[in-house]
Amino acid sequence: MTMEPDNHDGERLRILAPAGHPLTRRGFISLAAAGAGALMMSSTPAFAGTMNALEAAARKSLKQIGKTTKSLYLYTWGQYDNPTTFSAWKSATGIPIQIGSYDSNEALIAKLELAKGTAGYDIIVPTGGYVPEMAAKGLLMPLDKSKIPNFRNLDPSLLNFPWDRGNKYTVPKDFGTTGFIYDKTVITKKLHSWQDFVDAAALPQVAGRVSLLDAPDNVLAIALWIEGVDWNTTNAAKLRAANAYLIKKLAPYVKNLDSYPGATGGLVDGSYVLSQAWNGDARAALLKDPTRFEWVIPTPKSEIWVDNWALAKGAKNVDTAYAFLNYVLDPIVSANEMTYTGYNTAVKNVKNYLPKNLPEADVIFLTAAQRKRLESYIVNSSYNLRTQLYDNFKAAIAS
Amino acid sequence: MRGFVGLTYTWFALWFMAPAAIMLVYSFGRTAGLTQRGLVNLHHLGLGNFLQALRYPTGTVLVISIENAVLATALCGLIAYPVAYFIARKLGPRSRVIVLLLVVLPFWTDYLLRMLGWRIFLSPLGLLYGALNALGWHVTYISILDTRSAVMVGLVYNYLPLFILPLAVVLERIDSQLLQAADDLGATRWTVFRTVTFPMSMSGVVAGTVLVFVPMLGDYVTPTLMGGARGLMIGSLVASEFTEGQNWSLGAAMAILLILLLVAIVAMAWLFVTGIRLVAFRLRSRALAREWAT
Repeated sequence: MTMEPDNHDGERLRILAPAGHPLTRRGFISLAAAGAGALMMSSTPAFAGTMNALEAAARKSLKQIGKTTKSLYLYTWGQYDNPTTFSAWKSATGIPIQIGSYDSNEALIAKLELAKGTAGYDIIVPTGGYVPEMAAKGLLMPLDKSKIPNFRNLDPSLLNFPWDRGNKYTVPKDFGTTGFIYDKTVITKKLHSWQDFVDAAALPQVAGRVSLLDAPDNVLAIALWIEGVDWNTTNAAKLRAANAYLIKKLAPYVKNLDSYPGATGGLVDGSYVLSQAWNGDARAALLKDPTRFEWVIPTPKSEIWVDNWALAKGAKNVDTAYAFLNYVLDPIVSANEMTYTGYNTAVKNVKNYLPKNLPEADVIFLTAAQRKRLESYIVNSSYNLRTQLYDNFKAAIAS
Repeated sequence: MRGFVGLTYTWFALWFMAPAAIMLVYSFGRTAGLTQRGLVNLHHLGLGNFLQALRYPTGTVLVISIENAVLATALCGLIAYPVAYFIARKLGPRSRVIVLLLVVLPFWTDYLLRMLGWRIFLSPLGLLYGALNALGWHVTYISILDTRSAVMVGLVYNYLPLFILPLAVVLERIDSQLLQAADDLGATRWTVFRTVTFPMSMSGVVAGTVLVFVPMLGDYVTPTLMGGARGLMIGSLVASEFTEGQNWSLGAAMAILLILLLVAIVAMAWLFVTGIRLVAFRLRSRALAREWAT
């Protein structure tokens, strides 16, 4: 928890929870740390200022939409929003937000599909690549952007992705990238590419201390990018060949499949010295020991993922949901979210509302040059095969 | 009383047999939709899921799971026997109750919590690390978690009470006059144990083995929490077909195959025990017949 010295920009958030914030993309939070953080925050005048700004944004959003229902149901990833975003909304509008949580897009889809529009959720948070499938299954409601004036605050380069042309269904919530992080005290050679990653894994001082994301698409991508194959290919032979490459070159050296090697401490305590990671999680390790680790967005290609707000088919509180979406697209709210999740939002100029000396900021904010070689995975008909290949890869690690 | 028994059967049929039957039906279905996943389509029934379930990696993972379960069961037996012997033969009635209570005491805490407790204890810079360093045994970090050894620790820890309890009951029931008689006839303590106590406790050993081995083989929580990627077992593989795979029909087929395998193992254990009894009985009657003939 660091404090920014007082400055003159009234709306700038002064509090940020960067150092060792246990939360990363989806999920992991140490309750003790979160509790301590909340305590510290609520006892500062800066906190009161932030709450006032958030409440003003909530009131403004509600006023714009006019009459609404008095409830809102949100179905999202566990611990994926700043609690103050919700509490400020409730105290300003009087509308409570009921939150349900899931831990995978698959679980989200299964729940909505089984309920056939009666799940009762208004707002959901799917990852970009799952949107076409969800749209085809009729689980999403098209957005009326005239009801979200703050949509104009969004960075155009983070709109209109192939998985939702024209943002018919989704509003970007936050985004990040996939790369790897390594311990410079163990790996002295500078690493740049996915090929470097695979080669380094076999080094005697590294073997057995490698972790990969526990995500089938991200793991298979390593081989596809090395071999120059389209990440979104449905070609079974190419997918099988890529998996065979991983089983031969990577499986023997993998210690674990761990989506949070930074936040949960595997890198810091030395269990891992080379880890595939999402940028926000890698930053957690960098914040704990900035000189020891190196973060790489590898060549030739890597991932940009976007988690999105969307309206569920059958939503009962549509106007309230629009007011809420407008609220979270307000830069002050967006900055409040960033301080909690550690991921960049798609709101333009959100930087202006954050502390100026944000540590390891270059891990969060991607440059245009980096953005150029990032692509997204869209769930396609090879899903079953990919799951089966991932099972094979897991069996190879275990045996 | 009869009404109560009827209720029990209804309860069992409703909440155990019915879900199992649904699984069986699902295992012949097919997942449908854009990405060939999601809800099970029952319009085209077939054996495709079973064929896919039999292919690699099911076999590899099953072999690993059987190895783990056999080893962990053996460890459970080796630890449980002396403990059960001590409880049944060395303790007075009152202290016996107290010790048995201590054996089942961990069951009063949630299983997940106990496993997470082990994770904290064994974590690289956790309590064990602290204790070892405090005792002057310097280690850089503990690397037990997320290995097969960690799975073994979890399995033995979790199932040990289930081995101790039936064994203690059987050992307690052995008539001490028989041991006395053996002693009177000049048998050493080891001979008494080898020829009287141990053979008479075999039913407890078999009961403990089955009670421990069967749930171990299908265990999904322990390998998932303790073993990470290196501790994969068949239960985790089945679960991943239902969750991240969203391929319920394939998951159902794998579960059905696992159930069949376990039924076969239990049946073999039963045949083994009755077979031994039968042979023993035949030999004894033949010997008696010969005695009478002379």
